[in-house]
Amino acid sequence: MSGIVWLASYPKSGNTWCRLFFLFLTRQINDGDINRIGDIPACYSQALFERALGLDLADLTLKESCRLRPKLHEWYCNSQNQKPLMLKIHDAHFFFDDDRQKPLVAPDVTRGVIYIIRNPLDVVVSVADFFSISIERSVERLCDDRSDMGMAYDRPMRHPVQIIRSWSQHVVSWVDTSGLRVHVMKYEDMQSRPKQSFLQAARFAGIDCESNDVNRAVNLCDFNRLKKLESKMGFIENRQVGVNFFNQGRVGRWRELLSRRQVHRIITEHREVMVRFGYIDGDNRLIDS
Amino acid sequence: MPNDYSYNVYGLHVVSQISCPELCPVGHALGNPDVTIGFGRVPDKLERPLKSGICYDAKDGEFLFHLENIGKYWVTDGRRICIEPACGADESEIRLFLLGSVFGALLLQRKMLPLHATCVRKGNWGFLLCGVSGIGKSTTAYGLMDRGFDLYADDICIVDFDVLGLPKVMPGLTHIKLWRDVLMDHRLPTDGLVRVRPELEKYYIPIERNGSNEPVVIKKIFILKRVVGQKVELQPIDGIMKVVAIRNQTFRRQYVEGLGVQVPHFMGITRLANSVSVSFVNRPSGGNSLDEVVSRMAEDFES
Repeated sequence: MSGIVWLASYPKSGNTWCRLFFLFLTRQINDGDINRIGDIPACYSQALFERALGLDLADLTLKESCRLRPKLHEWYCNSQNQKPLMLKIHDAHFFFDDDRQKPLVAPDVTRGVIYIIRNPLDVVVSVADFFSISIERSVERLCDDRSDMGMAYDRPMRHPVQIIRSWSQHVVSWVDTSGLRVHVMKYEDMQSRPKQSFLQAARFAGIDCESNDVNRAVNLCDFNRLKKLESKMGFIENRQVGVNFFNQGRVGRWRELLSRRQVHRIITEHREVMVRFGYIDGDNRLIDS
Repeated sequence: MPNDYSYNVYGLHVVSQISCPELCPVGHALGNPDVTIGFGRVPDKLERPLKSGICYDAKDGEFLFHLENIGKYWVTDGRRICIEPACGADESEIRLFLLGSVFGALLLQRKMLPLHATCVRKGNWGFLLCGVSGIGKSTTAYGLMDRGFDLYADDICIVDFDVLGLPKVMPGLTHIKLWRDVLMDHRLPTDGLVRVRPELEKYYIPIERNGSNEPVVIKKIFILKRVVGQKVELQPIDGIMKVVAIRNQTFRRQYVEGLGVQVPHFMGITRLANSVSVSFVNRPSGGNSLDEVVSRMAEDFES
């Protein structure tokens, strides 16, 4: 079975961690090469897009670049040889038409989707840190069904627009309505029982590996190790000066930083999906991971 | 034909059925044109292309570029461009892709050496600013203009060699394309400026070459790069790294293989690498380091 294995997630949910795991597992990069993270590119990468298109992304309108994205996936699927073929994606899954005939990610270029999900209360904190916005603004983003990345800029220079939508819509769009083969991976499991969690993901991706290989890759992805490597040589994905990309990574940090009102807002907006994935129970009580 | 327009660009005499205000017009007969641009039927794709992208097919002597709602362009033998505009396409949009990707393919077919760069000069010497789109080439060039440099060429810089073997840049388009935010930073009003496309906040600004269209000798190539780190660094490069670094600045490098021009292209690159010094200008990926970048480059150029 050929096609792309998508690493899909709402932003700041563990996608980078997962990419590093697969790069270490398949030995595409050496033990210290965290800055070769782009060897599993983002599907909205400017370099990838321009290579495929043969023109400057900056000469396209936002609408044009967005509509060309399925063609980019097709091109990537047909022009690359490495196995497994992986792409990172932060968009919610969507269709360009009401008849659902034109999906952002088409089944015929897809081997499967590893969907990484993280407690939205922790996502709020991590999004606020990464994008240098307030917690309040971050809460708004997770609850906004029109949320996107890229539209805010005057110039569509670096990336085509990414349609993110609200946190719940993001999850449901991939897990329920995409019609694709999906494996859900919880961030909290990646932390608490990494070997089991990553082994399942590797098997889903069709990677022929032993548990020893998985253990090795998991150890190379140890958060404190990545943090030390970043301190020593920097990390290409980091966009801020003076703040680490591998910053805290803790589960439950929201307890120190979110107000009761903010917690209530997230739980109210995302109740159904949070119950379904075990973040709260039916009485809205929080379940410790 | 009586309604054709006549231009000189990259040292080529171009006769076109489409008016191109971004090219330098010539008022007198120059004999047979090097390149003709006209309208006509264009196939949807090339038969048996050597390489294809989402918007192009390429093979030896032929190149086809297509973009929905803009049109199709067919480039043959480095001499002819045939355009079939899409219904309702705006003429400025047709020109944008004609003078960018399509001309890039034509120049490669002619075995010329097009680099994706901005050229600034002081006196008889100039340097090239290279780097990916959005890295800040235009902004840096405008910063250098505040320090006594002239803007000479933008986007496609054609490199040739004079009788002494010195590398030089040929005069190219008469305009630079700038985003609104760059114009604002330099207090340049957008009133009266023409947008490159109706929907984009990007404008054509005339390049004032102070009346001189003579080629400029290249003293140095700077390649702007975002890096992990905290400070601006000029990193001279040599040997095979230098060849690779220059090759990576080729305008529409992805076309080279499909057009079957790898050998002359590589020879041009190595000749250039043997003739100029090249430095990476490493910019920290976070924060605003532009002023320091401009200072360091200006100092390096004068040294």
